[in-house]
Amino acid sequence: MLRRLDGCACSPFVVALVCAISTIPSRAVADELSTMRFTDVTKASKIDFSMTSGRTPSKHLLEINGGGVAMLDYDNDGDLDLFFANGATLDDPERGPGVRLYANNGDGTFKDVTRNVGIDLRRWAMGVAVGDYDGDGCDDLYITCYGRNVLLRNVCSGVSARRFVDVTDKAGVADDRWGTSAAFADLDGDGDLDLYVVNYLEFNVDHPPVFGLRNFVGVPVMTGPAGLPPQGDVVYENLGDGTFVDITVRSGCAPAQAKYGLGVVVLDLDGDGTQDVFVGNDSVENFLFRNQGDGTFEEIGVVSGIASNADGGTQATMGIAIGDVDGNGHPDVFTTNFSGDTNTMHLNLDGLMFDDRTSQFGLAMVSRSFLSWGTGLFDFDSDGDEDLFIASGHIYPEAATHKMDTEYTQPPLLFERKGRRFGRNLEAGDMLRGRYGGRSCAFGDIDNDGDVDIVMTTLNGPVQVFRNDSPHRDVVVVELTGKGGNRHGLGSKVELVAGKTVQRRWIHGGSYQSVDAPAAYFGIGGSARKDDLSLRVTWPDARTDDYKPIPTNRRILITRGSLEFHTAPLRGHGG
Amino acid sequence: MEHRQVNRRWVVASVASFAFVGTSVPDTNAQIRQATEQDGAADSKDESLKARGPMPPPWVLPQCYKLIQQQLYEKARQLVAPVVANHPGWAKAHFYLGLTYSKQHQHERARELFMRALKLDPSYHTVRIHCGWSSYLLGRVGESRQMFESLLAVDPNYADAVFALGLLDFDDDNLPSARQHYLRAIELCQGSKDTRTEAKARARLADVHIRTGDLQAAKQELDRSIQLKPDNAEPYFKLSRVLQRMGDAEGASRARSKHEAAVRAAQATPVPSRGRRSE
Repeated sequence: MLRRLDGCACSPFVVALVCAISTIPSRAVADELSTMRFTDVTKASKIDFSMTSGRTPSKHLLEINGGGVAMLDYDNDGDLDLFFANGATLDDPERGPGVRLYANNGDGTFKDVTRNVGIDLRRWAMGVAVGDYDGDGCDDLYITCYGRNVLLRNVCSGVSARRFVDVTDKAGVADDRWGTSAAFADLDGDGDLDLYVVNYLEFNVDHPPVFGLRNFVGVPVMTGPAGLPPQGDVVYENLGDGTFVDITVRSGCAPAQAKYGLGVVVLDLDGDGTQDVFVGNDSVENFLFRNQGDGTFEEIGVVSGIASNADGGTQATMGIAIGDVDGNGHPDVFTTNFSGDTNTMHLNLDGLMFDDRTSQFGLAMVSRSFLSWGTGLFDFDSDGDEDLFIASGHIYPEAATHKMDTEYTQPPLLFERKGRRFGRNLEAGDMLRGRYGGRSCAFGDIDNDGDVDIVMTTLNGPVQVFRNDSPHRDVVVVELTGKGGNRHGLGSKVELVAGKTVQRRWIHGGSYQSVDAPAAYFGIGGSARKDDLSLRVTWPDARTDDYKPIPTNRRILITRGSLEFHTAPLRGHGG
Repeated sequence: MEHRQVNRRWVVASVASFAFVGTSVPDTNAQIRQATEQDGAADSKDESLKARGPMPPPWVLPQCYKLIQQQLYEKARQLVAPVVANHPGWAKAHFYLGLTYSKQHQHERARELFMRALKLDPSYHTVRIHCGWSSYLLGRVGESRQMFESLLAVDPNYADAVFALGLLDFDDDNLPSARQHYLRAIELCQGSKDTRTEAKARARLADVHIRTGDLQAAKQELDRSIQLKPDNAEPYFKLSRVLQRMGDAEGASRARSKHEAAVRAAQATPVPSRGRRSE
């Protein structure tokens, strides 16, 4: 492999790739037995409700996307709480069972506090974004819906008890189309959080598309998205006074042709110190809006190579995971797709050029039978490289009764990084042999022990909580506080340096319709020099700060502007 | 069972386009007819006929094949399904029923029927190329490789099977072996004037060059692939990526336009769903 490098047409990308690969764990690591373990603690967590998204079996497109999940510390008590964007049914899309907020009790259990904090949102919710838009020190919630989206301000000061207040109209963010994913990010570099909202398509519940206009492998199925009118995305600029203004057209994020948007991540993909926007579009080209630093964006999806797969084929593109899988310092983009297709790993070669390298990492053919959604690249076994989790489940109920080369309910996929490739792990937990209508998922350390747990929503089924019970290894957990309203430093890059080995994480929203914990999780692995660790934080505006020495098995709390950092204990690590 | 020689003309012709990778349904009427007649002749000489149970009416299977060739898969299925039920020992009936499914990209059903045909008659090597592709498209890479390798053990010059092994090698990140298989497939295609498979193999060889950073070599292969089959969309897209990386933005833009035009032209030609949502 790579033997043609000598005297080759010397692409700098390849040189960078070879250099990068030298930092990837050796084959000896690949031969180690897996230690990854997950336990289904759904029941023990006392999160005992089922998501609603129409009825089963789904008949129409509106019923199939499921609801999102967010990990956030809404009460600032130091542990991660959970928010669920719950749906409704076609007969009354405005009055479903309602979204839910669960507070983390700190003992492995959660308590439904939805009513206690004044949340009563029963519209057909889809996705969620978390950010402190008003800079008051508490995380607010933006909830995308079929119909009017909702901004819930987290009121956390004053004499009254903590509560969420619907400030949608006052803030000017009441987009009333079919929203899917959304992300808070500092798009204009002024320190506060702007908002990107992804929309899907026009769907009239009173006159839904006729069933069966579409045919999938010879079987009539629900109609869409092809043939239904797509809806454009929305970009809101935060004016800093509690209100937003729609800058979609002015910013250049209103391409001539709207597309069927499903997922979004915002981060500095080209390393120029501004936040770019990647939008996963269903069945058509993805968008990559490159931030030009002057308040405008240029759409470069096709030119950059990230709009489609290596063959030029457009894909369904639901979930999006970010990680530096080739170690070249640039964020790579993994996307999940439809059955009969493969998921896709786009390597970021130089910030502006992407190349589909799914096969190189062993992630292509193995995914053909699965229809996948939420996903995340995280070092689940804390061995120093990032593994991959994917929620899966088909949209066509006909897959349960007809042979469609796939199944209606599917197991989640867990891939363990083994040397240069990812290998599917079927042994790390019973859930990997289970069958779910998996949809969104969020990642974070809900039991505060330093490793990454998973919460997955399912279609018209119970929420699933998978606790990471892998053996404790040395870890470092980094939490940032940025300037102004960007209190978690959304859009920052965090690098942990151990000798010549560099691991990189990006703090961004999350995957499909969901939000991960705003933290960077590092496993140190066995071979790293754990006594010689340093951290470099590249803030969203490209300013960098270095911190050293970094202790292991602690939460590292970094505030922008301070040269010092604080630490907090992790459970089970002598803290 | 007798050892039945692989009918190469039949099989080579049977590899029609699946995306650009290739799948396994006959696309030339004359070759299908010829193959059917030859298979029928082989059957009549087969001394093991008795072991297969009662013979189906002699017109049924050729008729079924005609329907497949006319893309009337449901009708073909209606015709052959009772044969499978009533004459379960006849490998060819299972094979034909499998073809009706693989042509509609229902590879799980097709694979089961192909496997059954092979179980009934392990020397029925024609089935292996089809079964190999169905397994491939189901993501069963080990089984797919085994099918192609077993076919090549009988006919080492089977270009499409060699090409398929190149794809499997590439998926396995074994670039030297992928390159070797693509080159061999190209060599075989040049001998047999199989421009379709040669065009595919050259486009895939370009993938190997792209991975190893030899963009000039990749460009050459893509240019040749386009020359061979100008209606294929995929090489234009890959060429646009290569030119972009070589700094030729104008050339990349031209290639992108041609890719879009080729996609539009392909969409204007009705083909069965490939089982992808983007269609």
